[in-house]
Amino acid sequence: MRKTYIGELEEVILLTVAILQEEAYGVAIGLHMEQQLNRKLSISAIHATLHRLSKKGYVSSSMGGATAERGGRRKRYFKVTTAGCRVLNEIQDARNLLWSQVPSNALTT
Amino acid sequence: MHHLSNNKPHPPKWINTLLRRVCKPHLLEEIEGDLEEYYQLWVDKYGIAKANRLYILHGIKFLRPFALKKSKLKISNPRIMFKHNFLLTFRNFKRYKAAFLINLIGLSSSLACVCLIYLWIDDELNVDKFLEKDNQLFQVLQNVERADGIETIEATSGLLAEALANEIPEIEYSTTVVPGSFNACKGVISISDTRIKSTGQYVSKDFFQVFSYQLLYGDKEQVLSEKNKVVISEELALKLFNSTEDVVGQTIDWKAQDITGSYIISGIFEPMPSNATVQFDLLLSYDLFKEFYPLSSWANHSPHSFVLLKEGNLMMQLNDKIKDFIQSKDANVRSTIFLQQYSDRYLYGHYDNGLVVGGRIQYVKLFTIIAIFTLVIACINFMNLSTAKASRRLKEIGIKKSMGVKRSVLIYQFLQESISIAFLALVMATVFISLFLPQFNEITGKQLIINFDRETVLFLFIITIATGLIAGSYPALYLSGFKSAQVLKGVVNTSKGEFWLRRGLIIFQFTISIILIASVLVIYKQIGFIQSNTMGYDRDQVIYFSIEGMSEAFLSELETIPGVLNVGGGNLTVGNQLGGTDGLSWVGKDSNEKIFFSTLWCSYNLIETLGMEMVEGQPLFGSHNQIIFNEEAIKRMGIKDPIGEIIKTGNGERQIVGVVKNFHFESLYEEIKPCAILLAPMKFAPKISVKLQKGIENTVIRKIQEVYETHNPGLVFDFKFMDADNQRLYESEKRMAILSRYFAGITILISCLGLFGLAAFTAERRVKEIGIRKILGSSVFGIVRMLTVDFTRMVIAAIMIALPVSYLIAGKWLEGFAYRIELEWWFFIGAGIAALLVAWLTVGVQTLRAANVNPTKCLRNE
Repeated sequence: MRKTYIGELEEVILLTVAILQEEAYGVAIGLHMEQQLNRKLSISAIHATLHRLSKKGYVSSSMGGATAERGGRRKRYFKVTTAGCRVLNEIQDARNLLWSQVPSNALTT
Repeated sequence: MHHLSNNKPHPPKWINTLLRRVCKPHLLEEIEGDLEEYYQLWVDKYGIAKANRLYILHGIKFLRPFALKKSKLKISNPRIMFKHNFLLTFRNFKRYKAAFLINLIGLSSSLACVCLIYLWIDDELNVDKFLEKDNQLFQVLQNVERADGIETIEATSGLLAEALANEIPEIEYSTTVVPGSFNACKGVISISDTRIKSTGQYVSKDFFQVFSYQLLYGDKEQVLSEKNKVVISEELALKLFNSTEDVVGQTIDWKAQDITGSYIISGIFEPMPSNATVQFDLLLSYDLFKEFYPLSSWANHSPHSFVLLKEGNLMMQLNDKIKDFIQSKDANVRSTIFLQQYSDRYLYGHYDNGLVVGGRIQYVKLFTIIAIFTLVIACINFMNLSTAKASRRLKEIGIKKSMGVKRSVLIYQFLQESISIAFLALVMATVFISLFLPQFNEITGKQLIINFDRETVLFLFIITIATGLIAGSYPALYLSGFKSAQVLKGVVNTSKGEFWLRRGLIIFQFTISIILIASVLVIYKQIGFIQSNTMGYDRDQVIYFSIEGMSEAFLSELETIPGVLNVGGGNLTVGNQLGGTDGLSWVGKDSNEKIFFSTLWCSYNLIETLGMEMVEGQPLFGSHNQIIFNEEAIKRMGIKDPIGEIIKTGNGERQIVGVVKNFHFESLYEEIKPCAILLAPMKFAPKISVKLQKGIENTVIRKIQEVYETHNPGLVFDFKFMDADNQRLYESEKRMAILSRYFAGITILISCLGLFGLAAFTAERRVKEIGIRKILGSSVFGIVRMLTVDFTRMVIAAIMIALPVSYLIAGKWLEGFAYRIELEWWFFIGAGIAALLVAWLTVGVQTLRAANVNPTKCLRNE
């Protein structure tokens, strides 16, 4: 089986989608990352990453209702799929495993 | 979006049109929606102008593969096609080496120019932008009413900054800065035996709150809280103590004119980036400064004031609010204040009648235009050569078409060809840049480096692709449009339109080149004029240096050095704005009138040392209550018989003893203003000017240095030649002149390359005609004329267009100078003739070779 890799940015955005739950759409994700991580991304970068994630099957999406502030345009809401949950958990487990092997004095700054 | 909902600002529409055209329809709704939503956020946060910019930027960033429509171009096996096209491209390059080289050299040198200009502009645009809260940081500028209009000055009342912060709630912090240039000379820092000269700035306590210079040691709220505290730069700390550890808490002695004392180092700041306009290494407390110079009047103009606004776009509304702030404090002062963003001042530093009218930004614009033009000229070469040589590719195109190749595939092929040559050119351009960057830095006085960060690489990539596309677009459309049947029969009906297009392009190229040559000529003439202008005083063989607490003994010893002709003192430094006052009054003065007098403090002998001419009366002598005016001042004051008149100043009376001929104490951008010359105590005139005997300047200077060093142990004797100083004043003009000369050279070179290629091609195509003409008795000269006449016509047409345009441009540029050259006809005709000669030379080499061909050889085979 071809193993699907997930990049750092993809991982962070996937997590953000999970955090925002029902409210996960482009602008909200961007603002959340800016506020929480102080990380400014261009809108297109977020869209591109979400696009990649949905191609890999880690998120699914659906269109919401029209809103006035977007000039009557609808939002596309994203949701983490089961595969997405699994990959996030796998990453977390892998990290935990490695962290547990780091000697206690190795990373003190 | 509450209050804006009725009248929402709209983002630029063309971005949406563009997106609609190229993006996948099913993604469009969310893309546009997100952009729109962000746009409203940006408007609230940054204002409409920046929001629009961001909108465009982020919109364009959507042009990436995932969002773009699948192209209609159907190539069944793209990889093989790609390889095949490369092979063809490569073979074509190999077969037609001359055309290939011309294109490569033209494109690569123009790309190199564009990249250098990009680096320069990028640096210019980022000056002072490194400060945090850059968009909240403003300088308070003062518009002062003068008889001849409003003058904008940086200097403000020393009370202003603090009062603004106290009374205007929108202002978070403010700071008063007495710039290093206030003291006419550097001060001296000493600890035990070490003595170092330094430019000290006096700043009030919130300096580090307003300017985010980083502190290595010390707390930004505390470092300047008391008047015996000083903050020094890391570099200075290393010089004084060889380390930055344990420096805080040490005591240094400081002496600059009146201000002397021991102060405690309370902090160290990090080195400033090279793109900071103000460089300083020592900060002292403004409270300390006030002890010595109590600037307690609203009419006084000395320190600079800076404010940090609270978040949000407050500048506009605040400008209205504080406009009459000074008048509300003191109704007698006729000035208004306004805010300008601190980082904008570097590029927008010229004011006219109280309004910002540009500044260095003009150079930025100028060079952007030059960059675009060089690139366009190189692209035109490519277009011309490839369409002219179309006949060579006819068979290839015909066969491909008859085999069923679609036009779009051919277009793709030709574009791939032009883009590959553009990338080859980029590689060469990078070599050029790395070769010429040191020289470029020397000319521009910058420390530019290419670091291949994401932005630069993206820029290079985009500009290269764009060049390839522009250069290749016309040939691709043109070549792919041939009808296969006709092409294979060998019939190509070149349309009139295509013929004219090619000529039009050449005319355009030469027009640009001629405009550039003419402009460079005018710039050189003007700068030469400025430098040869006597300014009204003689600055040859005059050196000046500052004195740090020196004695009469030094002065008298100085005068005895053989070769020292005259020793004078005074605060005249070429081209700097002098301080001044509008507080003079005299008999018969109209009480409403306010004349601003620049004041030149000097001691005995300065007028003689600088060889200024007296119109009436005599230079200063004897007592302190004397005053001298320049002619302009007397004219403004309307005094008929000035000698002996009494002038009331703020603190006493002075008698006019002389009138000096007008001289330029500021740069030649400015008209001569009224000026008062007063006899100064040494502390106000801390500069010594020495007139040296011609021919033995170096020996005399060495002697002066010896004397100086025996009187000031440990201090470095640094002096300047006054005429060198004058040149420094016009340094940026000079740099621009040198740069534009190079760029003009490169554009004409590239244009000529194109002409060269075309001439060669025409000669080659008409080789049979030439053969027959020669057999029928035509002379070599006749043939050369026949081949040249067409090109000559085009260049002459270019001259016709270029002359009026360059005349207008040059006239506009010269308007900025109060003293300028007259535009002479020969500048322009000269430029035209130069272009014509170069064109003839280029074409001539080719045509001569063609005309000397042996008819038997060229007519032998058919």
